[in-house]
Amino acid sequence: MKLKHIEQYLQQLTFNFSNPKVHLEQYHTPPHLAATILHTIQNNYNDIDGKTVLDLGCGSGILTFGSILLGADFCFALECDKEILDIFIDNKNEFEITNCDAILFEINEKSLDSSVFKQKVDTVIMNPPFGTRNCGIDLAFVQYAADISKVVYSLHKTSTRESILKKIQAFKNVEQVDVIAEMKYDLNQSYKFHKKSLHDIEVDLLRIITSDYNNS
Amino acid sequence: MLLLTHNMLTSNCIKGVSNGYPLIIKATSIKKLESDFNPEFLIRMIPKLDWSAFYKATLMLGDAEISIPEKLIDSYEKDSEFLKKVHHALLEVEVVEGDLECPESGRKFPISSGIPNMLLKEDEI
Ligand SMILES: C[S@@+](CC[C@H](N)C(=O)[O-])C[C@H]1O[C@@H](n2cnc3c(N)ncnc32)[C@H](O)[C@@H]1O
Repeated sequence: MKLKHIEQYLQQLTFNFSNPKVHLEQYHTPPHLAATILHTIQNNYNDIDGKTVLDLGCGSGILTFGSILLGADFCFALECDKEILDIFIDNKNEFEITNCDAILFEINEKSLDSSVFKQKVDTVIMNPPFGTRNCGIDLAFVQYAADISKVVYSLHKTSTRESILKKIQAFKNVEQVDVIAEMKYDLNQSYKFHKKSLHDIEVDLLRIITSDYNNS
Repeated sequence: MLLLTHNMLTSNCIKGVSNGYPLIIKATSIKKLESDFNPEFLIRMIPKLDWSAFYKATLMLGDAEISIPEKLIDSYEKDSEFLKKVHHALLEVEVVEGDLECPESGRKFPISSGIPNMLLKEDEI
């Protein structure tokens, strides 16, 4: 599928949200960026079409609905904020999608203990909080994702690349981690209530292969 | 919440609970959906399911249209009758309102607008 078509589709989603919670870093992935991410994952690695996908911190669901557009069999969507899931459900109904399901679930130190998802999903695609508000939450997301999935795609700040890569590499289930694309994140578009005017933030798209990758 | 999702949820994250699976479904509202039959997906997913939990879940809904055998049959890959039943039970029945109940502690996880709320308070974990 053409990048432009993915982007046009994703632009029709609703993102508006009257009460964004700053501590949860609830900015959505802009359609152009989301389309580029999903197009890259499918075209270069074939990790969406015919796969069971999980979207961690799904918010209004752009990565879920984009994955389904690109042929995912099913997408589990996990999110800790009930209010933003209302938008997710509106989008799901509007786009008449049935092969996804949302769960109110919080990633924390304990969530690994309840990983019934372990070995049930093929691909995790996520845009986790950067961890500016809740220190270390970005890595908690990666750790949970690497524990349950064969391969993980995750967005992180380029400015902290070295330390993030080092920490991810040390996770027990991680075989390999690569920066597969450098992208720009226009936070102004999605985070209007930010006081300061923000310019583009540089982000890395990481591909993390876990030890379950070859057992399929 | 679809039964596929129910198959993935546990309350083992609650402090002191070791046998929080499968969660008991107490549905007050159920919706039937129509979704595309995708046998390749089912063939990939069936071996990953906890079949006994799936079977129990269908019984908990108490709906005659939702029927799957207690034991997973052999060579289900070629049995499209069987796959269609699984498709319906797994992917076309949405629990819209109700509760999931921890089999050990009785802690209820409410399901509202189709979304199971698995959030725990800090003193529960
Ligand atoms: C950067 S946003 C991305 C949203 C969406 N995936 C997207 O791409 O547009 C991060 C999301 O993670 C959620 N989140 C933050 N902390 C979380 C946690 N501990 N557990 C689960 N979700 C969390 C936020 O509510 C928010 O929706």
